[in-house]
Amino acid sequence: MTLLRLERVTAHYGHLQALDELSLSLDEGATLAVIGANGAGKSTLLSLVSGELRPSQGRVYLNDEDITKVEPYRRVNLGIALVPEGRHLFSTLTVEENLLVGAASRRQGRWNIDAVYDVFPFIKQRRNVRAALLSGGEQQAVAIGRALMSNPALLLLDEVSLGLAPVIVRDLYVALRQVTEGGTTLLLVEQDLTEALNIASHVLCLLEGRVALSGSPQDLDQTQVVNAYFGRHAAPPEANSPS
Amino acid sequence: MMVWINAIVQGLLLGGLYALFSCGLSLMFGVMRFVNLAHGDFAVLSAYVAYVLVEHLGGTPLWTFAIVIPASALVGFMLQRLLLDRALIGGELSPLLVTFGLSILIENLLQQGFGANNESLFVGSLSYDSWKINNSIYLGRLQVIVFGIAVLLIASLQLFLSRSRPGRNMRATADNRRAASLSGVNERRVRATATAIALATVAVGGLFLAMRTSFTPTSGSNDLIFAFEAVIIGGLGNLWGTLLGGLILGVAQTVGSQINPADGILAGHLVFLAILAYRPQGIIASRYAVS
Amino acid sequence: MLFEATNIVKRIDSLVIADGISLAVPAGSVVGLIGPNGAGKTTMLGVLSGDVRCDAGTISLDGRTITKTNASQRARLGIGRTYQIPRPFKGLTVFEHALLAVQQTRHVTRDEANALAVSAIERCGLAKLINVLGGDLRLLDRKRLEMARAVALNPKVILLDEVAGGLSDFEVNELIEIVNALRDEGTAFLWVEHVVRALTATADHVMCLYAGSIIAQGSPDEVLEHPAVIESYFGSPAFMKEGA
Repeated sequence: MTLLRLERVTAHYGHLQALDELSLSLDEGATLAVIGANGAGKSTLLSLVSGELRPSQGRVYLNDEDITKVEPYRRVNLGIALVPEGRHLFSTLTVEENLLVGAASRRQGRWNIDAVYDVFPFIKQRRNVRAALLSGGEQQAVAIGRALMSNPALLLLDEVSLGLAPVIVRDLYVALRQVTEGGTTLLLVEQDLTEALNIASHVLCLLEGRVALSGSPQDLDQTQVVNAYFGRHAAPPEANSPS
Repeated sequence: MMVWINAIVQGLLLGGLYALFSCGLSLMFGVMRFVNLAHGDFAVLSAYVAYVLVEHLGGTPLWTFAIVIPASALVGFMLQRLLLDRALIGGELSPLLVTFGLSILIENLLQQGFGANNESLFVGSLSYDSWKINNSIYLGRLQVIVFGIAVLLIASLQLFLSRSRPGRNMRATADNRRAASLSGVNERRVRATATAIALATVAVGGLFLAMRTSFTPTSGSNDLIFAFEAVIIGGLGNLWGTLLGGLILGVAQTVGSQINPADGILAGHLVFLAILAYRPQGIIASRYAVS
Repeated sequence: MLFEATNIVKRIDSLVIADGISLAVPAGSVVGLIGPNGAGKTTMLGVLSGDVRCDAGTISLDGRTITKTNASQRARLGIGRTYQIPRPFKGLTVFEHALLAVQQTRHVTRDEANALAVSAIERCGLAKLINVLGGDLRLLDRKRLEMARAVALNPKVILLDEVAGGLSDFEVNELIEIVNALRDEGTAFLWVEHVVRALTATADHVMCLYAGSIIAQGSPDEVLEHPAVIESYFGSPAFMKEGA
């Protein structure tokens, strides 16, 4: 069953083109890792799905419903939750309050505050601590937990490993694996390719706003991925009409 | 000696009224960084509405609370949704300009409708009844009621913010707007609720002020200044701070008056300036305001 | 050696951008600088252009030490620079931009300034847009304008800061053509870039910056296949298990 579909989306930030007629299809229960160099369009892709950015062309479908024009907070109601890059916790609220705000959409499901503490036990003892005082790894856990509280069908993760020690990143991905086992579909953007390719059932490599490579990790080899990432052996395309 | 104690006591009671005026301003600023220059005018507007209601339906003005307060909340909600939300899109100057225009509009409409006379809401003996403590200290009944309601209101608001679900969503929106919307919080509703609360509380302040002294179409601007001063003295975005700010301002004014009857208000301004100069974040540097 | 930096040390708070980095740009060559996000490439560029002071090390141009000069002095000496996000003046024409760039840096006669401006504009492919206002330019032309402003001073070396970002495929090709043409005329380039494809098509020599040092350098292909570079970008030199 296709959960998410992007149909030839083009996205701009002002004059800058960030995505160029990109299409993708994500099945329920899958875990898609989106990789690519800086500026390749990974975060833009997440913004289109979360609703923070509107495409200049193309459409976004969730369960075959056109959500292209739906605002971010309403997409949470529909089952899309984003863990933004840099975590963006409510720094003056406590851990528990942060998690409770995540339930603002009142969606039902297996995720409630106890379930979140089960998956991230080390934040339970910090439940009444203000978020600003947490370590980086704890903050990331709270950010993920907060998104889980809305019982998303599709969980979007933007660079969860950023700024964190490898040991902590490993723990976070162990937790994320538990999330996928529960049936949640994951779409993650990640610089740490080792972890990303480990958890992913599918990989998408973006280059200059377009798909350079797509497939499942077992079907791809390292050279293919590196070349797609750097855009090597990509024949310069015949002159497209300039924008 | 007693005279000074009385001045302080009266100042505290006055401060309660100022706190009533300011908590709405503080809330709006805390939640959406919005400075509402028409804030004082809404207080005066509520007073005029009460005035008209009493004119036509008689009785003591006290019953008008039941109509004016909910009506103010509704007006606040709609005002935010229909007008002020758009002002926020325009950048930092836009809300100031829009609410400035609103202020002028309200004041002029009131002037057209009611002329420039001083009006007042007569509450009979309540305006002058007092409890005598000793020969120098009298506690006006109305003043004590206002103080009590101010403290109760601020405590309730604080409870609302810290314990309730919509209150928590409001704090979250004030803290990190983007994250709030990504968590599913309906920002528009949060903002409209904040403005509804702001206008309802300032209406309470306006009605009580009208009972305590007189009002004119333009007295809202004056009230606005005191409300600002209370908020700044106490610390932006913290309700208990706003209460404290109101109390400090009230005491400054009454003690100043005691020194020289003409200088009461000036004393308040001087204290305000001193705070701006030496502790601009306010007495209680806010836990809620985020840089 | 035309442009050289030796043993550059630069720290920002606790982050080590450069811990004794040396690099060299020979005349008429294009040298690329890559590295994972956050490695400090733009800061390094700033050290070379004079916008940022280094903590230690020397920088020389044509054998002359210029470490203590600032950005505008270096511009006069022949080091041009483009900035990552082009911000043209909305109300000035393309010509006026180039003219301004010349007049701010050189004392030349009006006729000489005009000639330099026009020449730069032509060499960067903006001849047809010479009277268009800066605000009306699309992204690729804004980047051309950035180049023209640097080129107008006839610099010996131009420092490019991620100039290919945000361009479509076709536009990147146009950009590559301009750089190659300028290089053929004798201008040297030091090019910090994320869009690696642009470097593989122009650079003679590529360096990879990571954790304060140049972890690999050589031809573009050599660098992109180097295990240390792969590790810096992907987390491990063998980040995909065989038959996982």
